[in-house]
Amino acid sequence: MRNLRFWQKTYLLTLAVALVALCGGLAFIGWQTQQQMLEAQVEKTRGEQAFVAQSLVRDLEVAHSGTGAALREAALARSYGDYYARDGAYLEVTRAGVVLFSNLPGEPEAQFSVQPGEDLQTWMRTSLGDTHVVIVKSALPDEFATYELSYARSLEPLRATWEQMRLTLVVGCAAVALVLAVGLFFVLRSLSRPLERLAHTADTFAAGERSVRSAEAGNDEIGTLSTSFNAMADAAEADINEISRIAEANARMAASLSHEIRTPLTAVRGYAEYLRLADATEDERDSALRYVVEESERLQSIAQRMLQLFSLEADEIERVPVDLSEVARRALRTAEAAARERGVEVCAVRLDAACVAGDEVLLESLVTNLLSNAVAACEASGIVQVSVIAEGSRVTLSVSDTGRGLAPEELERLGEPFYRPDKARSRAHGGAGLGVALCVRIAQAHGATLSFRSQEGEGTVAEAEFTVS
Amino acid sequence: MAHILVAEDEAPINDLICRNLQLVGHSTASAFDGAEALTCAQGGSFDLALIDVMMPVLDGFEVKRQLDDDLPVIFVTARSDLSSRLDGLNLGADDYVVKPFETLELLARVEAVLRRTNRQQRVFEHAGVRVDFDTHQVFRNGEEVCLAPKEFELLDTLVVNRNLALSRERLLELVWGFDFVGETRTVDMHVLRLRKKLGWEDVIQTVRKVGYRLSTRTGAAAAAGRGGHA
Repeated sequence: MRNLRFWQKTYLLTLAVALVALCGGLAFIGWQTQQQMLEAQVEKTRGEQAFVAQSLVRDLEVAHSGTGAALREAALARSYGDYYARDGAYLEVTRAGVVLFSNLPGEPEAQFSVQPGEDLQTWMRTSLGDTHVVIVKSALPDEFATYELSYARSLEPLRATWEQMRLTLVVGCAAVALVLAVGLFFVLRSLSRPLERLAHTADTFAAGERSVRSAEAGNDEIGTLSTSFNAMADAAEADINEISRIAEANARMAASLSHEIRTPLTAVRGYAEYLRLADATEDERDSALRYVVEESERLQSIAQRMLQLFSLEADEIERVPVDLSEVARRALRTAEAAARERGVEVCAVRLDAACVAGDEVLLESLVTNLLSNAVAACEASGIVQVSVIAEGSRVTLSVSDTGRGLAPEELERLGEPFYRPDKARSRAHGGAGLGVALCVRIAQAHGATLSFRSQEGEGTVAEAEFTVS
Repeated sequence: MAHILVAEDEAPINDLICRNLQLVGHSTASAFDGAEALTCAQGGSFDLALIDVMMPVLDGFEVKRQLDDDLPVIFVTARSDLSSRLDGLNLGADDYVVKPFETLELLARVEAVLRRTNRQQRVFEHAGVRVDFDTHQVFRNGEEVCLAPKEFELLDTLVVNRNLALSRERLLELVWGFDFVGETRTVDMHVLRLRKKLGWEDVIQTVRKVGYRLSTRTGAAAAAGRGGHA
């Protein structure tokens, strides 16, 4: 049963139930009819026996109204017997237990005695010899109370009728069963087609085709199932796309991180080996050691920034009132030296004294990072400007530059850790790609929004908007 | 010996590779981006190019595509994933080294490629000794010196890795193989014999706590005030 399809199970069970009901019903009806026919026959026979009894009584009265009654009685009984024998009935007349006439085909199986009292019939179905009969017996009324009349009719004709009826029923049942089996088969199979199609659609989805949907329509259960499936597929597809996106972003991050770490590590390992194995001059050893220190510092800076990034995600920051304009001034001073080296000018356009609730070190980090990115983006004679503007409950810090700018795709990925627009990740043109990600986190931790606007070839503006109560 | 182009945008690493190549006797030229590498390669006559994959302007793969096939190329890169390796090798590179790399390994691969393309060193001369690698002959001041097979192989290894110290274990591996069941004293004895036969007591140096080193810079190093051992 387990290996059958649903429609096959439905088919077999429905067919079984239908056939059982049909055959059971027909059998019951047949049996009922049989009983009724029997009852009718019994009643008919009783009626006939009563009629014969009446007739016999009248004729006996006539017979007894003269002499030679006994002889006349016997002849009378015989004539009755013959007469009714032609009709297929059996007769027995007894007087005080002595048989006057009998053409019963045999003895009844059980003796049954007549009820005392007139006109009371007893009857039973029994076999007389080989013949099944219904036999009715009664005592004649009044003065002929010692006379008993037994009247029997064969049940064979009835039996023959029953046999034919049974045959008809069986054949009819079989025919209906066949029609039912064939018809139900095709009906159920076609009803289950939509389910099969739906299952196929689900399989296709599972195999990777995320855009397939079910086309089954209708308001029945299958239509409802189809609609629900489509809704589920929509949700699953959306989730899968989201997860893929995140996985891709993570993979990119991992690859970038790998590169950022392997490069300084190569230098550290390489020069350490060099120092150990090589036949080198004092100067050569000295410069090798210098490289080791530099690259170690770079690794340290990356590690530090990453830790900062992670800890910002996890912890809440402690907030104290911080004057953003002071922070900006300090960051400017730090950025000036590197800027001068590149020939880039950094200046403050407007620094409103504005107090925000936050962490001073982190905020300085934010401004410094934005400034160094701005400076790095510029060629010689580029200009970087800082401003802090307080307007009501909003404080806006902005850093703008006249550097290379960013394309829309680059702008979109700017906050991604380790993302660098420079595909070669060359150190001459930029850092490890953690700076902006860090800035975004710092802004988030302060409940501020950080946004970037840029035009390729013209410059970029970074804006951090803080809310002060 | 061989003239090798080193294309790597990170200056410290470019410097590192060049130094090591020079130590073992090659001459080098440096390029710091893809375009420079291409110009350099097409202009000069190099025996081998070491190319970093992640370079600005043109990446390493693109440079290889535009180079002539007769210049052997080894990619040196931080991208260790299989697809990058396959891409590199499918482009026709002779080898693919992942950063960070072991110095001696890089040099061994360089040597292997040079050997395959028949550009390896055939003859070596220093401090009165001449070694012919083709004929397996060694001459000291013009007179042939008889060396046992293992002695010659040891000499070969020291020459190929000259100016770099090799540990006894390393020498055992390289000269006698991994299956050799023996002590590092074997190495000591062979070095002793080599020194004696070639008069190279000062040339084959004992580097304390490291191993042995064949130095061709002794004169120059001493003049430049070489410091103590590590």
